[in-house]
This record gives sequence, C-alpha cells and structure tokens, in this order.
Amino acid sequence: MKSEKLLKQSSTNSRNIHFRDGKKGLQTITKKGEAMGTCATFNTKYICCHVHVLRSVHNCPFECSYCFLQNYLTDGSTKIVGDTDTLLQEVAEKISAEPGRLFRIGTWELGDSLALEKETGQALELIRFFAGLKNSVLELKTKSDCVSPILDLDHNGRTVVSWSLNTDSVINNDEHRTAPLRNRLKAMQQAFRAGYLIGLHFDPMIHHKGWEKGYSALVRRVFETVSPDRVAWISIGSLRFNPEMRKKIENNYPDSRLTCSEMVLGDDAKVRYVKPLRVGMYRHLYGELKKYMSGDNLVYLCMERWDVWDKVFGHHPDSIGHLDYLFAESLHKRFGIGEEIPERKLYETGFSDSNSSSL
Amino acid sequence: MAVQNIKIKDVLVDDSRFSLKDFLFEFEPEQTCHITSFDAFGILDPVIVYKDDKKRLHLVDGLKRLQFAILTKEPIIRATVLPASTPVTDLISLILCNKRYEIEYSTINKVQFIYFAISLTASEPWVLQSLCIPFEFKPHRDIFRECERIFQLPKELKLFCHEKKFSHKQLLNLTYHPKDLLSQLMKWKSVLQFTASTLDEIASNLKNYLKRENRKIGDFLAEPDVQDILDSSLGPREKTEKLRQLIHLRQFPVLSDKNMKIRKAVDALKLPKGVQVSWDRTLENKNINVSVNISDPSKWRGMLDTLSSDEVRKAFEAILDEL
Repeated sequence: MKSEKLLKQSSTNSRNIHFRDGKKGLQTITKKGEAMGTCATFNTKYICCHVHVLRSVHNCPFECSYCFLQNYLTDGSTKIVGDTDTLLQEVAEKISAEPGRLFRIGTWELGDSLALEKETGQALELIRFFAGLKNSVLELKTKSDCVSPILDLDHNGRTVVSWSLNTDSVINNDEHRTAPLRNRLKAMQQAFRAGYLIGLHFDPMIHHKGWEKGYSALVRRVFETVSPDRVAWISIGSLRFNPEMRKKIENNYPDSRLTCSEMVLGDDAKVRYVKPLRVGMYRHLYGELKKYMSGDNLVYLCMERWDVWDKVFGHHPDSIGHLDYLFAESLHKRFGIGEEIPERKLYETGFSDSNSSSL
Repeated sequence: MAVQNIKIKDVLVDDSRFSLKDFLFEFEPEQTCHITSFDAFGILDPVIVYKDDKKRLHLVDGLKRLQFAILTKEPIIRATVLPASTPVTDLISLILCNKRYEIEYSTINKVQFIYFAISLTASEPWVLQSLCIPFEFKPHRDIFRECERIFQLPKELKLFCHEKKFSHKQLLNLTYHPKDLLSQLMKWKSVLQFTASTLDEIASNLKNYLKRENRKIGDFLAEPDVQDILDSSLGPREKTEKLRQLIHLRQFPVLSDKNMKIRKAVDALKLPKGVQVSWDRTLENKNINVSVNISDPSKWRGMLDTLSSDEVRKAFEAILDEL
C-alpha cells in the first residue's frame, strides 16, 4: 500500500466507536470473506441497475447527514482493505466465471472511492488492474476533489470516475466536510482531461427551498465542465432511508430539515418523498439534462418503481437484467468496452419480466 | 444490624441522597393503607438510614413512617443505621426491594430508577445486569443515554406517560420533540383526549410541519382552523380527531390532496352498495382494488353492468393516472 506509514494503525477493539469518532482515524485490515457482491437489496417493486460492489473501504471521512452508514456500521472505525492483491484476486475469479458479460464494479458502497486516496493509494492499484481487464469497468464514486493521484495513470478507459452531485444548498447544509461543488467540478474536469469516462449521480435529490433553480444550475455547471460524450452514465435518485435512520439524523444533525419532509414508507422498508414529489423532481432534472446531453447518454433512476420510470422517461426496462444489459450495450457502442456485442440473455438470466406484477 | 433511636430532625428526607422524590411517580395515598395501619399499631418497624462520611443521616427507607412520626410530633424514631462503607449497589437493591411494585408499575418509573441508580454512581455493568435485565430493557450501554433523554422530559409529560403507561419506544420518541411543542401538548391535555399513539402522531407531524415551514408553535395556534377546533363545543375525543386530521393535512399536503381527489372520483361514481374501491393511501403502489360483496344473486348482473360501464372505466383510468 502506498503511504502506509501515514496510516494511523490501530489494533484496538473498535466495536464501540461512534461513527463520527471513527472518521478521525484510519485502519488497514485484511480482507475477510467475500468483498465483491451486488449493490442494494433486490425488491421486485423497484428497479436496481445491478451494479457490483467491491467493499474495499468501510466508513468515510465525510459527514453527510443522510448517510446510511451512521445507522449501518456496527464498527464505526474507518478501515481500508490493505491486501489489495487478495481483493483483486477475488474480482478476477468472479469475472472470469462469466467472461461473456460486462461487470460494472464500484468501490463506493460503504465509503467514498477517492477521499482517502492520498493516504491509501488503493484506487491507483485498482485502476491499473482494471486497465487490463476485458469484461469489467471500475467505478470510483466520490464527493471529494481528490483526483491528482490518479491523473497520470494508464487507465485504458476502463475506469469511470463518478461524482455524487448536489446543489450548493444541499452540500452546505447536509454534506458536511465534502468538497464544495466548484472543487468537485474542477476535479471532474481534470479527470475528464485525463481521459477518464465520467459518471454523474444526481442522488440523493433533496426537496428543499429553491430546489428547481438549484438543480437547473447544477446541471448547467456540470455540462459547462464536461462534454456529455464522455459521460458513461447518469443516475437520478431521491432521498431515502430506513425508518430507524430518522432518529439518527435528528440526533446527529439536529439542524437538518431532511426528516421533516412529506415522506412515506415504501415496499422496500425505506422512507421516501411521496411519489408526486419524486416524480416532479425527476422530471425537472431529466428535462434539464435533455438540454445538454445527446440521445446516446444512458440515464437511469436509482431504486425506483417501474411506474415512476414510465412517468419520467415514458418507458421502463423489461427487467433488472435488461437494465444491466442496456449499460453493457451503451458502453460497448459508445466506448468500445467489452470485446463482443453484449448478448441480452446473458444479463437477464434470473430476472423475470416484472412489468405487470410489480407496479 | 443494631437498631438505634435517632432524632428525626437529624434525618435528611427530601435532601437524602436516596430520595426518590424526583425519580418515582408513587401511588396516590388512597392506594395505600399506611395511615390506618399507623393509627392502629403505631410505627412497628424501624426506618433505614445511611450515615455518610460527614455523619449526616440520609433516609433510605421509611418515608411514610417518618412523616407519621413528624405528624404525631415524635422527636425520635427507631432506625437501622447503615455505615458509610455500605456499597451503593446494596442500597439501591434495598430500595428496589421495598419499592419494586411501584417502580415496575410503569416504564417511566423503571427508566427514572435506572437514572437514579446512575446518578448514585452505580457501575454501568451492575445497572445493566441488576436493573436493565429484570426491567426487560436491552442490556446495552445505549440505554443510559436513552434514560437520560427520557428523564429530561417535562415532569408533567412524564406523569402523563406514567398514567398512560407509555412504552420505552414511545417515551424515547417523545424525546425527539422540541420542549415548546411538548409543553403545548400538555396544555392541550385538559381539552383533548390523548392516547399514547395519538400523542406521538400529533407530536411527530406537528414537529415536522413546523420545522419544514420554519414556523413556531404560536404561529400554528394562531391559525383560524386551529382556533375553530379548540374553541368548538365538540367533546375532547372529537376535538382530538379533528386536530389530528388537520395536522396530518398540514404535514402531508400532497398526499392528502391526491387522496381527496381520488376519493371524490370514487364517490362521484355512486357505485352500488357492496362494491368497494380501495387504493394505497401512500400512493406508492399503482393499483386499485375493487371488491364486490354480494348476498342477493339477482344483483350480480347489475353490479357487473355498472363496473363495465365507460364511466367507471374512465374513472379508474383517471385514478390510475393519479397513482
């Protein structure tokens, strides 16, 4: 590991560490069990993009008031898997088992992909490894501006550097210690100029005073920064959290207004804005995106209902596997990723058509 | 342990380290028979006091006996005097044994007793093992923070929670509401009729509405609709229901509006009695449930004709568009 001496090593039992205290240090750990899996929990009423995740980091130095980690991690300390070779070996084994399909693999499920890069050098090793893979794309998703360590790498177009984006107001009020929007956009431009594909995640959209103007300005600023031609994918999603999170948020961030919106409990046991509000926000953002992007850009909703897709886009994928296939098709067609034209049936195995039964 | 005669004026009662005055909602006098017993037999058992390092006597057990003695102008009372070296956990156990029924009568009393034990510097492991487990609380350190939060609730509210036997979860929920809102709820207590669940719902929705709209409780009270309900001649139960609905409407304006539109569309169809139309009131699921309850076979054809009419079809399409 790069800069290993810089890491604050600790062998103490950290089970009782509060998530906020745990953000102050960094431990390296050895990989235990499976680190690669699929994102989120499947629920037939919601469409998931079926991205894979590599759990290489646990906890994050940032403090987003809506972050599920404050309720999820039983061990609040920040940890990074030190034996990257073992991680990569698992990736190699799993992707070689299905050579005909394209894997999108992100390292952001339990932390930020780049925030600790200067201390760990982990992303650097992952980028180099993925540069040599034929059927996989690495996604590094961040709210940081920490891209300098990865700019000079030979990434071979196999890494998508993504940003979680929000309005200045949301960043100021609810994304504590993250990079300000202007810094994220500057870093995005640097990654773009270094030839990386860019991912855009307008998620979680938050219903706040002036949200329409805020998100319009955000989209404009993003496309003043990068060309839509190099944007691999764009996701849209809205605030959602487990009901138990409500108390955590109110306790940890008493000034936040996140929890007092008009929200209901969904079938996946998560609280969300009521559907008309969500649809209104998505339609607005998608309308703004359409002003700048080309028809080739892949835009999707993260963990949303089939009928919400219909209301926003006028269509929905036939199944979760179908959406996964659409990613592979788009990446192959637009960027030549994947050796052969993707075969739809390879992606749809195990996913039934959910149109009629799951609305 | 030897029983001694001690001067009543030397005994710390309200100022005793072991006074439960602020930590326990005791039964009303009519629930006990001490006075009658004292009248018949006098004070039979000695009180228990704890002598601290500075020789001060703290009453541990025997408040009613002491009060009776004061009432009858006795200068002296028999007492078992526990030395300063007595472990605090032994003293807490003694108090628990004597007061177990009252302490375990309500969750708020149990919470307050745990807080009492912690305030006496009983060790956390001992409290978890000896109090939390018998009280059926999770034996985890989080309970201490929760008990402290609950203990900080306004006393009047805590008394209400004692009377209504609020659960631990319900008590904890209350701790997330602002103090001015909780005070207002207690002011409403005389004109409204709260159960644990209506109090929690009203408090949650009102808190969220006020915070979202950046308003104060006074602003809400000044709303004409609120005034109308509170000034009306309705009974407490009806007033509570009206206020609950109004607050729900304020907190869920979009949801309420959509549901009202759908309700009106369904009502306008004037469907035959026995045909029920329902939908997901959270608007999450895009579907309508139509159920037919029939007892007279001759009505079957008429019901089918109604349901298959263009008017009903169009109305259902419009409702599905709303969902």
